[in-house]
Amino acid sequence: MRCANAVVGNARVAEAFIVDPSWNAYRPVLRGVIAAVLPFDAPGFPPITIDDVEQRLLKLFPLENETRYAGLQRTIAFFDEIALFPLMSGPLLQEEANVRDLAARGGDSARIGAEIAATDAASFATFATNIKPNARFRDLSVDAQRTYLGLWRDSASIVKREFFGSLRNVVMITTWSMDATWPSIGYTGPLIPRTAVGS
Amino acid sequence: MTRLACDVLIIGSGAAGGVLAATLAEQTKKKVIVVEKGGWFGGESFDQREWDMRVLYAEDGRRTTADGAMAVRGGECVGGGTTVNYALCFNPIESVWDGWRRDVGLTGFSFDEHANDYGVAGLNIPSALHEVRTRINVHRAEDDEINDNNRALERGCAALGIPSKHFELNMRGCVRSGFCGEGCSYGAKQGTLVTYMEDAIAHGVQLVHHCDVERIVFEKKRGAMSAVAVNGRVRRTRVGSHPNSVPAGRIEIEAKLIIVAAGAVATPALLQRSHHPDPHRRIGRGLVTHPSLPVIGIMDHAISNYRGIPGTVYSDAYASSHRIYFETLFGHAVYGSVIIPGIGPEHFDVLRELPRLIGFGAMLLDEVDDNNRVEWNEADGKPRIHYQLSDNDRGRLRFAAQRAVEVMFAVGARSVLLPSSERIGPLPRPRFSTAAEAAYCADLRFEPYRTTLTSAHAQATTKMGEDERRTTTNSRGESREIRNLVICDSSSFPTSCGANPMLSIMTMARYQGRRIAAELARYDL
Repeated sequence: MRCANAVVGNARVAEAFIVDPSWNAYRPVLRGVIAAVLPFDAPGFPPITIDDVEQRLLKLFPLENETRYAGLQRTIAFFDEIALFPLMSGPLLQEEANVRDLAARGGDSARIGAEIAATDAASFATFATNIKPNARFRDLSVDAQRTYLGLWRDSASIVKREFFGSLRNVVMITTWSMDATWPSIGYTGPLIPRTAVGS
Repeated sequence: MTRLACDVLIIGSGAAGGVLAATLAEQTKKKVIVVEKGGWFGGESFDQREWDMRVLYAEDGRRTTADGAMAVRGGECVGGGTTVNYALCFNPIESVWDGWRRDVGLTGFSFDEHANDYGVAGLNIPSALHEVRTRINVHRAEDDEINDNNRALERGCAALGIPSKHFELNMRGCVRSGFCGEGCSYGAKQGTLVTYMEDAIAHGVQLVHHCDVERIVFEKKRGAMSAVAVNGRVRRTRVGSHPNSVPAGRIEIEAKLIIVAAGAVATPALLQRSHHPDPHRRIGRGLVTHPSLPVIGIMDHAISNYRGIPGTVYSDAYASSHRIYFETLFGHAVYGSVIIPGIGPEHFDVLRELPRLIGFGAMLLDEVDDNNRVEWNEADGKPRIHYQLSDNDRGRLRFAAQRAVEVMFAVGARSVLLPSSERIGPLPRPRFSTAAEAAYCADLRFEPYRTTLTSAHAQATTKMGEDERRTTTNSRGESREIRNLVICDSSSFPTSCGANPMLSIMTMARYQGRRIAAELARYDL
């Protein structure tokens, strides 16, 4: 934590851990994730925009209106602070112990945390040489954002991989459940009209 | 507060609950109520959209293991899993049940068609199975029902000398739309929604849906703790569901006999939050899930994959040696987008090949580990499913992955991939260009959130048998500590039942329903 503070400053570290980040605080991050997950410029990609995906995402997954998404909001804010990536802080370490079921199966939480931090620090070091100091995810190019997402996907921490997987799947479900996206992948879709359930 | 009273209360309307309800309604004059957590959606509500039809699944399709890494899908609607499954039928496997007799002292459930178990005329597994098979129209898939994707597994296996078979299916008049997992819009899939639950309702059974059972009430009666009622809450009916038989709000239902048939996740969770005694810490423990590894091949030409009957061909060639089945299934756009690994152009380049994709799953009959368990989590208000693969099971899945990739190339795939970001051998990801590269599957670790596994067959969390230290109920499914409380669903199996479980569950439920109908006095009925 001390190292991270030195890089990004106490205020931003504190902001990354606040209980309920504002919509304005994490919206640019969410839009960056959408742009990185979906290749809008790829030949043959459906004629949809980031705005289309963002609006539908918030309808399907009401991040702002349901308390169950509070954790996701906080992690999005944390995710934005690139320098925090190798960090295995108290709450992260506790969650890592939970998902590994260490209380029932045994295992040294501190040792596991140290191993994760060391592994992730090594992969982060390579990435960090190519970005400006103090940069945030929202400021990166799309290519750099994809590389940064790759760090989370390949992290030694299950919790960090889970965050990548959750965000990715939210964007995928949002996008590919839109009728307008189906022709571009050769999917001819349902054979009957939408019923009241989906209205 | 709604207050109801009945002779028999059944919690759950799926493969077990639906069959029990119809059997008891037909064979007794007792008042039966069925409560179901999900809604009562008919075929006219099933609109073939994956997102819309999440209403048919537990936790709106978001139920996963506690680490979030593996989906544990289960139906949560009238009909339960039989409404949303792929209609794949396997008879109960005698050798598995014989193993349960040896290991946990299971009694009854004779596979001799002349047996009269518990002194009940004609009560045995073959007769119960015959009745179920007839009611739900189980039949072997015909050759003209095999779509290209299923044919690919058949041909790939044949090319490598691996035997394959056609599934038996519980369908009647299938139109081959390909939307089994979204509920059958045409009423062709013969789940309990359109068979046993219809029978039950026709015989006067009351159905209460959208009902969260919070607790089973235990009271001392004639010197023994007995199940006497349940209390809970009826939610507002969701759009598209049939109307409910009671208003939304608190509910209490008194019953002389309570049968829990809520499935291998909800059943132990309900017992735990009801503070059911658990002297040997068995409730919820020893969960098996049948984890399945999807395997994707890219062909040079378009094929029929998401259209047609999704599952008609399988191979059990490695079931005995490695506890692995290859089973053909194929999803739709949303499922495909999630299963195909990666992001950005890497992901889209594969997804846009959808008409040229072939896919099947390698399903593992996982071994019992007591640390794999269901625990009611008071803070979340929902069950937590703790699950990790054993080292033995990882080894079996590695073998399965290698053989599956080889099958894909044998049928002509130009490229094969697994839903994984693990580095194996020299490959940065499990994306294969030649059959020889399949050998790198030996490096797979199946780590959470690196490799995607799915599951839909949770079982074995309130095991039945006569070994008191290893089971929760006796062989009749009766709680040892609470009178007039019976458990009958996939949680009752002591281990994996050895194949896709629907028909084993329904047969067990038919058997138990007939037994209870013949032993009413045992339950003060």
